[in-house]
Amino acid sequence: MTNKILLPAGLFLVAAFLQLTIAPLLTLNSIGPDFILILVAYYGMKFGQRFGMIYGFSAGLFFDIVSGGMIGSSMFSKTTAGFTAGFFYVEPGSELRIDSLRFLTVVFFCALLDSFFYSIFSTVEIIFNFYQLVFIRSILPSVYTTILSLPVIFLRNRGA
Amino acid sequence: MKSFLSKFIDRNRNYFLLIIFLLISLSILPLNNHPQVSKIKSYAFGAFAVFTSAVNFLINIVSSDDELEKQKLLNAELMLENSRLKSLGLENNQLRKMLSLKDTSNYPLITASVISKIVDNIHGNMIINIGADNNITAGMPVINERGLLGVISDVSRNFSVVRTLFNANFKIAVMDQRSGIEGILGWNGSNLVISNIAVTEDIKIGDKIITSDFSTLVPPAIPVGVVISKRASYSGLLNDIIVEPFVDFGISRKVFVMSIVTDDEIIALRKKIERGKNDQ
Repeated sequence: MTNKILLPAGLFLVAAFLQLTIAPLLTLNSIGPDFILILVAYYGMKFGQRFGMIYGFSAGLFFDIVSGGMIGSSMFSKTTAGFTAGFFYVEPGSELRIDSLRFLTVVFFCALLDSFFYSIFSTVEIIFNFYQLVFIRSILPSVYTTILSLPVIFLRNRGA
Repeated sequence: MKSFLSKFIDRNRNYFLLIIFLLISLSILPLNNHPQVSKIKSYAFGAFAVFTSAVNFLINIVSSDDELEKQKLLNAELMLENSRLKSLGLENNQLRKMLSLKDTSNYPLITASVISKIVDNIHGNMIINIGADNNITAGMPVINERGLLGVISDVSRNFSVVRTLFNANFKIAVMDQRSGIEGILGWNGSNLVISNIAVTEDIKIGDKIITSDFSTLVPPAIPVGVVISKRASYSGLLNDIIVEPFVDFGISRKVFVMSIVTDDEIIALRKKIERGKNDQ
């Protein structure tokens, strides 16, 4: 119960809080990190596709509401990200572990999908060209989020 | 057959679940302007804003400067007055014969602290620490000492969401202060742009852009930004005017809400137009 519900929920509150208060300070030219996405990717890898999906869906819904954003946009993108992270699920007891490179790769791909779908669904007012959509709105924020996910690895290693 | 179906569903359960979640997300998207959804949003963000305001409070303790705040308020008032006088001067030169010029009267400014921001490329929103209890209502303009920041879009008891200029869903009527050319300013994800201005129109780089008399959202003559470039649109007959805003969304921590009560008739008309849009 604590491991699968309370801790993820508590960490989500912390991440949402960081996203609303600290992330704006780290934003460069409208490109900022996504702390919630890091959590979604982590839990997708840890508990599998279904958990990642449900976690992404709930986190997206809650964040859409508390941020005053467009409800549905983060829900869609985070659900997709959680589902994708679940493909890299590491079964308990297996030899594969959530090592640093694997984790960073998963975070990058999840962030890429998340940013891509968020850009598409969060507004009908802007029509992006291919370069804007893929490079500026997807790849750059994903790289930034991946870099900022490094502390998770250090924290995990210290905890292990 | 039945066992094949149940096996198929069982094997692909995650995919079905994914489709259901995605369909739910997509079906919610068009409901964002629904009054009930807005109500739920305002309660929820109000509740969460309590936490974020606690951090903001701590930051303010560390960097509090009452004198600076007073100076910023004074600056904002002077900025509005200065812009109003400039506009009136230009109007006066051009329209000497007119007897009644538009009144860009003074509105009381309510000071607020920014407690959180969404700084993505599409939704520039911020949450401030005043709400319905401070007589804030949706639609009130928000400025800082440099110019217009946005308008209030949602209000809870103690907090409000500000839809800023850097939000793709925010459009505002503006004009060139020098030539009086009118246009609609919006955020395209990278720049503030006044779209579809005829190439023959007299807009020069360096011109100051202010809010227009025709805006139903904000009073006229509030500084918005300065023209930095012109870009020919596809047809070659129209220009997109790129505007650099006076305000810096990233560093705005203190803002001022202009306590304007929009005319009921205008609100009713605006709602009618929005209803018409939704019905289409």
